[in-house]
Amino acid sequence: MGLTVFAFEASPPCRGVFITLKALGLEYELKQIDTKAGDTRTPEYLEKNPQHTVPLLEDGDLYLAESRAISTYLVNKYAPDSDLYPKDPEARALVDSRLFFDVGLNTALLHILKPLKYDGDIARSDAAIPALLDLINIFEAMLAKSEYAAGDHVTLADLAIVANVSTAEAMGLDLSGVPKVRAWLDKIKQLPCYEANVQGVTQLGVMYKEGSTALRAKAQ
Amino acid sequence: MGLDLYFMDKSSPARAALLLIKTLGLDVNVKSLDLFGGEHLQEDFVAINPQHTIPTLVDGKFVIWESRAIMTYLVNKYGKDTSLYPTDPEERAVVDQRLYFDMGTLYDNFGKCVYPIIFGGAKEVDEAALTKTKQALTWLEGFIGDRGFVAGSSLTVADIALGVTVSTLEASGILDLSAYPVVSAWLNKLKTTLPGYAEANQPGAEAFGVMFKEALARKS
Repeated sequence: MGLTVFAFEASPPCRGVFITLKALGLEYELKQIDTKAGDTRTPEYLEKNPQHTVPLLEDGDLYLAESRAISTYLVNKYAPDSDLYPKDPEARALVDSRLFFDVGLNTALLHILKPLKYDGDIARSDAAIPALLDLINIFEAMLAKSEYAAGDHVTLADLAIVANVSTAEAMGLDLSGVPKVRAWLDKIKQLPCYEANVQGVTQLGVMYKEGSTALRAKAQ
Repeated sequence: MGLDLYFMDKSSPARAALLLIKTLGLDVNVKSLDLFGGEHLQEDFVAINPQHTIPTLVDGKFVIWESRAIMTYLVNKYGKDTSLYPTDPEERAVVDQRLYFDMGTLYDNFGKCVYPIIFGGAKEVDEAALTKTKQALTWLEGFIGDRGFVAGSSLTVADIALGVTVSTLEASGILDLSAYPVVSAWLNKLKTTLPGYAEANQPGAEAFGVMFKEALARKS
């Protein structure tokens, strides 16, 4: 067989895929990608993924980008009866809906992280925080109706969303107003597959805290 | 009973959901919400969808939002033939990747071109966002290639999602679509062959274009 994942650990969508692979008990080879060093811009990589993004899954002749499409593919192909991505149209649709919601979460997170990483623009980074917290508030409202992100048991939606929400926590953002989200986060952290998230989220949290602190000090 | 679709004609994702419904030949009760008047923020709608976004689909007791999850749900549940959302894991994965590309890359960057002007009082289209939108169209050219459709050699929900996004982009006039001949030919094919296109998408796309151009023309 032989699955290969091109990724770097700090990236939330990459972690979403790592968590899913671990939950499914699938072995894979990790090819470490350094985007700043230009690893995603080589002709070889662009041939596999013209979008030059991570994560990228290689499975035989298939090269698949988009973390959530990778996760759903892994279940469809290797664990089609798994509860992580139920077959019932309604249950599946709810998982899909939350996976698209997660795209919004990640985009909001990037609006905070990118200005910091690439432009040293702390003002623009800080200004983007309320929009992420707004989405986390909406997730709180969703959790009022179901124990997990997409129903009464763990699904791919939880595994994807936790990569982003755990990042918000690691960054030190204010989650005091969302008790259901915090309780949900604690539950997901108990899952064995969550182990695949730990190193990367810690890394990203530290990078954000150090970077933002330094820039705010400079701005004074 | 039947399907209720909460809708607004100018909204690209809402039109994508409606167009798919028409493509499947399903009956639907279209419930237009006045977003500019804040109708989506009223209690009864927030009770249905705490994220208060459109499109939102109500199918009996089942509520689902996120246009692309709505589309895949409807094919999973009601599609008489599965080619619109193939069941083979690899074919489906490619459709899913295109759907996430639509949300996270093409529609996202197009939004960054137009929404700051419509809602934010910006005076001109952001250069960086425009560059990324053009890049996304170049990738879309590659995805279609000589196969004629975005995810293979037959129509899928990805064509409907991306087709509506591109039609809205075209209506806005922020760039010249003829620079993308493969995309242009594909869009034209969708316009002339999809049942219900003239009804479900054309007027709304045009209305969006008019609204955007008026916003751009406002000097103060």
